[in-house]
Amino acid sequence: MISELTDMFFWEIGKRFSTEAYLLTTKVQGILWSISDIIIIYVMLKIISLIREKNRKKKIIFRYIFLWLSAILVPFLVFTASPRQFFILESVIFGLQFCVLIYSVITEAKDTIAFFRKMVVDGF
Amino acid sequence: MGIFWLFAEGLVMIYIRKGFIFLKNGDARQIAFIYFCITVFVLLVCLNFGQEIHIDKYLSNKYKPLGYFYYSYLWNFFCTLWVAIEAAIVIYVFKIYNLLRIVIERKKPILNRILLFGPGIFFLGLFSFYAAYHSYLGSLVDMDGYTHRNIQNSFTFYIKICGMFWIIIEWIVGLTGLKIFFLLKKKLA
Repeated sequence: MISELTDMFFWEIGKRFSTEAYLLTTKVQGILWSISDIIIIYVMLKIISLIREKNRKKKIIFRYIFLWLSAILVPFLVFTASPRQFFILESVIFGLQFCVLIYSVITEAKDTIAFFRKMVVDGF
Repeated sequence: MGIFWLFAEGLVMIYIRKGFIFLKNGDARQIAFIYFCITVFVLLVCLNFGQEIHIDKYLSNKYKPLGYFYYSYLWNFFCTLWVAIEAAIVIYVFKIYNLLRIVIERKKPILNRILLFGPGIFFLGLFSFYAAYHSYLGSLVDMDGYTHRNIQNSFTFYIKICGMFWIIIEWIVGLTGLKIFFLLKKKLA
C-alpha cells in the first residue's frame, strides 16, 4: 500500500511539477521567507540598537538602509519570468540581508553577549 | 551563492551557540565544534566544484544516478543542511529566550524533556528523509516510463518541501526574536 502510494506520488510529481509550477510555488515561498528574514534582521538590529543606546554608542543607520533596500526588492520577486531571474533577484535580496547579518554578528557579538550575561548574572 | 549562504548561516549558528553557552556557563569554548564545522564546510566546497575535479565521474562508477544528477543531489543536500542549521538557530534562540524569561520575569522554564530531545529526533528524521527520498529517485533512473525530465521534476519538488520547513522555522525565529526584544524593552524601560 505504502509502496503504491509512493510510486503514485513520484509519478504525479514527475509528470506535473513543471518549470511553471516550480516558479509559481517558489515565488510564494520566496516572498514568505523574505518577509520572515526581514523581521529577523529588523528585530536583531532593534536589540542591538537598545544595547548600543545603553552603551552610549552611535545609532545604526547604514544597516537599516541595507535592510530596507532588500525589503523594497521583495515585491519584484512576483514579476520574475524565469527561475534564473528569480534566483538572481533572490541572491541580491539575500546578499544584502546576509551582509547586514554577518557584519552585525562579527562586530556586535562581544557587547551583546556581555550585556545579556550581565542581565543573567546580575539580573539588572 | 549556495556556499556563501551556507557560510553565512553557519557563522550565525556558531555565534548564537557561543552566546547561549556563554550566557549559561560564563565560558564558551567550542573549538572542537568549530573544527567540525570547518571540516564539513571544506568538504562541501570540494563537492561543489565536483565536476571540475571529476568527483561526479568517480561517484557515478559507484552509483550510476550520481552521474546524471550530481548537482541535484548536492543542491538538495545543501537545502537540507540549511533547514538543519536554521533549526539549530531556532533552538538556541528559543533557549536564550527561555533563559531571559527565567531571569527577567522570574517564570518557570518552558523547555521540557520533549523539547530537549526533539531537536535530535528532528535532525535524524530530516537527514533520513533526504536519504530515503533520493535513494528512491535514484532507483527510478532505469525504470520504464520515467524520463530524466520527470526525475528532475521530483528533485526540484524536494526543494519546495525544504522551503516549507524553512519558512516555518524562520517565522518561529522571527517571532521569538520579537518576544526577546519586547522582554528587553520592558526591562530597560
